[in-house]
Amino acid sequence: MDQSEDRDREIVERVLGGETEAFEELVERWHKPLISLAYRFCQDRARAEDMAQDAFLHLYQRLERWERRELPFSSWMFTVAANLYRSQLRRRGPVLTELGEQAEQRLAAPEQPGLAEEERAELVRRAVATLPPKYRDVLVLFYFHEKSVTETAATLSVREGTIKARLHRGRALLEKKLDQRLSVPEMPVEEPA
Amino acid sequence: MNPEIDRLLSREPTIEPHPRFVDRVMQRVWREHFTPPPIPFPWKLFAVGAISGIAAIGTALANRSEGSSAIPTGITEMLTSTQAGGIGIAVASVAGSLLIAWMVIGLADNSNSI
Repeated sequence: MDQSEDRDREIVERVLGGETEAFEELVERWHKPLISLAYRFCQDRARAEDMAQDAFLHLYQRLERWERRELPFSSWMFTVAANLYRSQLRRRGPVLTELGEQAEQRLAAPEQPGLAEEERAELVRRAVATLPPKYRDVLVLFYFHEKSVTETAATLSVREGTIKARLHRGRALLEKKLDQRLSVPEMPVEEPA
Repeated sequence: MNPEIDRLLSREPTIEPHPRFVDRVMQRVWREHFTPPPIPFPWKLFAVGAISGIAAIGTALANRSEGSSAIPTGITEMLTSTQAGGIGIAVASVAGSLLIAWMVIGLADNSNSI
């Protein structure tokens, strides 16, 4: 168990022991990843913060359940948060269903000088958000977990083989959606003097 | 997969949370902390009451069919005196249900006052 896990456990024990104010440290430690995960699902900054707030409250109400489990706090936290985000998107509906004409045009011109790297990444993430949920969830979590199939499978409580199959299909759908628009422009070859 | 898509998806989105995000979460946590937990429905007491009621009605019906008077005369009379015995059974069932509901409400009130 590394120091970070030790610290999480220590904080949770304090909260469960009645020191509610200690929960603030957990929020400080984990709010950025949880907002980032929510944002990957919904592609809306304000909504991502609302979803992350709900996730923290949800975690606070269920801290005792983690204490009885043998997995790192962060793994349990991401599983709880991801399940909550997915159910919120099911209930309230996704923010995006299509990329939109403006996004299509921007993707169509990757060499456009004003189009920053982050902007292009955002457009690709928006394309992921428009995929059917079972492919969207796998792609979102796979890249959030730095391409770990094992962690993605654990978060979604699905077998690794299923994750690999959905990744394959999801990527194919994504490529079809984005087509050739994200091909890297070739660097000009300098003529020898 | 297109390596460009893979590379772009691997990028962490740059989001700067609202400066008061942590405060807002803690406000909700404190509100939750000070909110008394909801009073659970007293299913055990309800079950005891319901089983007792059903048992009483069952006994009444069994005794009625045997012609015995082991149950209070008034109830037996009520069950047998009506031309259609079904009405008596229905009335007894409603009375039993009301009694159970009254007991449950009373117990819930007591729990609230605690």
